[in-house]
Amino acid sequence: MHGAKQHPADGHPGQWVLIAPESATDPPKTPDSEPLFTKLRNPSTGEATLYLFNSGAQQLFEVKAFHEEYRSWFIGQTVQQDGRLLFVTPMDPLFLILYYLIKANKEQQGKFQPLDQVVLDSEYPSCPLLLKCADVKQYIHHVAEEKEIGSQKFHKYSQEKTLKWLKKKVNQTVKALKSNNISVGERVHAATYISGKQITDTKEDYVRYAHGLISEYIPEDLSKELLKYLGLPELRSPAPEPPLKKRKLSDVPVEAEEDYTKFNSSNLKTKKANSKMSAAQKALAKVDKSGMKSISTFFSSKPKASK
Amino acid sequence: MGVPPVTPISQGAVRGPLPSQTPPSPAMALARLERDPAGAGRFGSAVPPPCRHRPCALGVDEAGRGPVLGPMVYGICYCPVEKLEELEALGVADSKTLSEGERERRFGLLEAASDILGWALHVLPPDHISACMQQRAKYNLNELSHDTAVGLIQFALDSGVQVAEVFVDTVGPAEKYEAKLRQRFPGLEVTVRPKADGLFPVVSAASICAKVARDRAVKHWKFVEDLEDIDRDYGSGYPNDPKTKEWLRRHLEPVFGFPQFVRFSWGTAQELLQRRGVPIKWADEDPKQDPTAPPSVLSYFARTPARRPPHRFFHERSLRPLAEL
Repeated sequence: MHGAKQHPADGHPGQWVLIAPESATDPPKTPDSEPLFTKLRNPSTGEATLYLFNSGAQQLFEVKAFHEEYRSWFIGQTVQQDGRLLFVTPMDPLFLILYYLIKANKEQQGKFQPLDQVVLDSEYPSCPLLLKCADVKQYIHHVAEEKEIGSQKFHKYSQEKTLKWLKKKVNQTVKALKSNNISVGERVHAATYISGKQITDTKEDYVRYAHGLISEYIPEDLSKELLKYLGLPELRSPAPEPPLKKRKLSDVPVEAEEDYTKFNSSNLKTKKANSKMSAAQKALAKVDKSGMKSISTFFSSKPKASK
Repeated sequence: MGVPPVTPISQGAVRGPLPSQTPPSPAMALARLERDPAGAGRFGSAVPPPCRHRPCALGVDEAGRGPVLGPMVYGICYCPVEKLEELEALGVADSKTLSEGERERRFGLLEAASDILGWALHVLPPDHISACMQQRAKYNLNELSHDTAVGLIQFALDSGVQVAEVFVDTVGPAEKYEAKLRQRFPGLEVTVRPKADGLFPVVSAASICAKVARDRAVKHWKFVEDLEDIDRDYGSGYPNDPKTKEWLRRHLEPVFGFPQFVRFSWGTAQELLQRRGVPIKWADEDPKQDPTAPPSVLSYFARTPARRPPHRFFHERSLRPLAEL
């Protein structure tokens, strides 16, 4: 499907191309419950990021753009300079709520609070819609402790529960990575290269990769906690690269598998000396050098007064 | 060839006897150009029987190398070496010195000599020329020309012509071209000369074939684009012709450029596209910065971004979050 929006003057795309599941574009059940593109706080970066609530805010979707240089669309009888392809994919709203639970927990020193007082953000007015999503009330216990006083429920962030929940997410992701045949190891497979070692991605490769993926949805501190919780050693991050260089990112530093230094043994030198000289070298060796000065004498510090 | 003599053709040229079964005449075969000028590709006459067992001379020439419009046509003509005099007697000459009407007339003579003279043509449509010259691995016009010539010579050999000598009007430096052809066809006597179409009758014949074919192809060109009543008043088609330039200006579409009839790879066309067309960037041109160049010294002092880089899953797939639509 593609929608049309007119921004003739300011160079914004006039049209965008997106792929979305049907549930994202269901017609609204009531006139005021149309699907809504809105900015929310990205739980990983804390920056404004685009999300989509479907009709009646029953479900949350994240919006990602496939964006490469030098691409444009032909749409019907028009040309769209912006060659992006937008993907609208379902997302667990707990990730976004988690951000606010953690924040509230820090600010309120572990007080139990009603959720609608936690999930509030003056910069993002549609933030409370997160709580309207189906199943949020039912699944909030995965990341928070619950207290019921009278008819009202109060919640408090629980890191322990969250880590347990995230571990499940990691395991689900590992399953998905395997079933989609996604290469998770640090090696790049080349069809023509036959390695002496059998290339199999280890369980740790999968878990680390899945952890990296999940980390795109949680704050950095929590990501580190999760790594510990999963029993994976933290890797030293490589030195920051100057931003101009493009480079494939890997979770794991690439290390040489074979040790070539053993070939650099000292007998290499002697070998070389014994090796045959070329014809020209032989010819040079035969030259009568008597009466010739060594070249180094020309550079000696004290010029000898020769008489 | 113990065939009884047949009435000489109307032009009264000195000719040998016709075989009882005449192969399809060039005019008939050229009808193919009138049906589908762009898709004609490579085609040729039936091989005259003498050419199958007598050593033959073969001439190669081209027509339509310079124009910014229309196809380029490569032609070969061949006949038994001992019949070269007969061919010369037909009065073939460098096609450029002839008027269009005169070329058609001489072509008629060649056509009538199909008992000794065979030919083949290769039509390179303008879009093919554009594509060759502008593809990622550049393939220039000289290479394209050389390879087309080689293809036609091979085509004659494959058709059973006893080619012994090859005469070629040169494209680029003659010595290099000659060496290239010698290497490709070690058994053949190869002569590459500038202006060969004026020196060797068999090249003149090829030149007339190519030129006539090119004229037909241009005349009957079918524009693949849905252009209602496109005017064909484009002059000579050469880039320096003011009429041609004016036609190009009139038929420039800002997004798509020109109809396929135009060779996009020509400087004239490119200059117009750059000035009047929508700017288009391709991945393999105008790199913003040489990626191998060392990074600016300033980049080492820039504040490193606090954010972690996106996970390689997203990075490898060029997926990024959006701030707004």
